[in-house]
Amino acid sequence: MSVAQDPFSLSGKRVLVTGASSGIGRQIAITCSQVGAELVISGRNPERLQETKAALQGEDHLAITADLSQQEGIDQLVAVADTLHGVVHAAGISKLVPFRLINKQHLTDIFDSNTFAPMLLTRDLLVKKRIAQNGSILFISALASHSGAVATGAYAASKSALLGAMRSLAIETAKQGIRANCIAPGYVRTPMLDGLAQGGANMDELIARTPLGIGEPEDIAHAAVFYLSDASRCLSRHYTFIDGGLSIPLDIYA
Amino acid sequence: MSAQAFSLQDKTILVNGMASGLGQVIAQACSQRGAKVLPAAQPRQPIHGLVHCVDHALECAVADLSEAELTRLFHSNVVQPVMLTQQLLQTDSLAPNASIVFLLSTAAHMGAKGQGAYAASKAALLGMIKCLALEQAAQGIRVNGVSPRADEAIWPDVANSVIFLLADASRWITGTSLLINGAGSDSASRSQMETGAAA
Amino acid sequence: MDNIDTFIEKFITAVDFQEAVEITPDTVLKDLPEWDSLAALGVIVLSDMEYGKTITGEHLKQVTTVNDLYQLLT
Ligand SMILES: NC(=O)c1ccc[n+]([C@@H]2O[C@H](COP(=O)([O-])OP(=O)(O)OC[C@H]3O[C@@H](n4cnc5c(N)ncnc54)[C@H](OP(=O)(O)O)[C@@H]3O)[C@@H](O)[C@H]2O)c1
Repeated sequence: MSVAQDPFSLSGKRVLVTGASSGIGRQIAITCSQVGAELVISGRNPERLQETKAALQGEDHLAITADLSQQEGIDQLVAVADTLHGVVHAAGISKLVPFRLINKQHLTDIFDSNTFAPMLLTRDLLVKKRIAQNGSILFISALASHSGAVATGAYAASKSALLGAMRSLAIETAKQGIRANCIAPGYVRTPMLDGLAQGGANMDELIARTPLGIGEPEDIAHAAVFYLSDASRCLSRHYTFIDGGLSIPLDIYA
Repeated sequence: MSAQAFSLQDKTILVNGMASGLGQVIAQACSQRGAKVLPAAQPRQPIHGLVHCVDHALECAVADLSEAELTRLFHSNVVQPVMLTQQLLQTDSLAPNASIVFLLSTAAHMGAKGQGAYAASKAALLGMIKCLALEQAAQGIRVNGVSPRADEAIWPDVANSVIFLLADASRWITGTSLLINGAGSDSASRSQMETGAAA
Repeated sequence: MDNIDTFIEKFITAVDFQEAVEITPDTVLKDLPEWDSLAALGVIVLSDMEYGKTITGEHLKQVTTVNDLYQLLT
């Protein structure tokens, strides 16, 4: 033992990343592998998931195709997860629907993937003792949880639900040293954002309001590494906006 | 390379209040990560990171507070770091994409008896952080805070949060503050987390 | 499949007109006083949820009348 372990490194840690077949989750997986983590990655689309796996640095990573809106999908993932030091819930869907057009199906779809999947997956991992002492659980919420932009009723509700879930979880797991946090991104350049533009949103105008400009998946991935690493071992129950300053002038706490 | 994002190599960091205990720990941690650490600005030396560590405590019920004490506290905790920041901006001493970090406290976010003046001085910085972040965003300059609880045992962890906010890894984070509450690692911080939990 | 009258009813719900307007198959979308981005979004969502068709803002720009829209969605 000569050099003390770098607190920002993830070497020796096994990290599960959901939503790793695209966008933010994909980059989180890649960046984690670059700072030494062994990855378990998951997504629905097998081809894109394999592409991510091929982009990971190092060997011994595992890719599991699973739809986490179904209990079978969660079971599959938990069965192979083994001991994890970090979990990042990056899987999620979004769709712009004006409030007057919200129906039960839309609510079910959004909540199944965005809220129930991360909560139930976490539950099962805890019950099966898959999360190591001093592990770190990270939820990916969205600025929409607090800003509630036009036509995001169901999406914003599904994301603000994660706030209460994470805060309660963090207290319950504190005595095992397991931390829980949430990062809430602003506009990040991913296929999801392209989808919103396709779905009728004027993204250029919205993005132009971000003081530091549009975010890249790397920006979220670096924050994820911080929250997974020992450098943040004294931080739990955080709900942190990572948004290039977009939330600063908003009335979301007034 | 991603490990590079958490490095402070080739960065010059000015630590305001380096003489304090926490200031020393932060300065040392920054230099271990490759930064050149300065206690004060030097001519023609662009600054990539500015950490304000000045932190004067005052425990006094508001009913007993004197105007002189309140004024003195605001001067050391607010006026000094803000005016130093202004001076560096006016002299173009901050490099483009520089990162500014203010030392706040959990008191800036949570009420506690006897902490009125101190909490107000730290909350004043929260307001300053947000507005300065907006004013400087066009230059790529970021402004954030760290809010530790009063506990020397977590100083190395405070330093790690400061390093994250100074490093390129946080280049899209501005106008925010990181609460460093101990994560329930001991009974004191756990009971504080549990208070009022079911209300 | 909905006939044009049912379609017009759903269209009116989706767009959320504050002032009552008479809509016929020949009504030109752009002439509607309340035709804005939220109204267009309502139509995009209606198309997806009720008719299982994914359309974009670009598709909408190529549509002139309510009847054109009906033909596109049904
Ligand atoms: N991009 C932004 O601007 C932004 C802003 C705020 C918050 N976020 C949040 O960040 C997260 C990632 O977003 P993104 O932009 O990276 O989106 P994305 O590119 O669309 O990726 C979403 C990922 O989630 C997976 N997924 C969705 N539903 C799933 C389910 N039921 N089971 C398993 N996997 C599922 C997708 O898998 P397949 O592709 O394989 O189907 C994909 O890997 C989301 O939670 C999103 O709400 C994004």
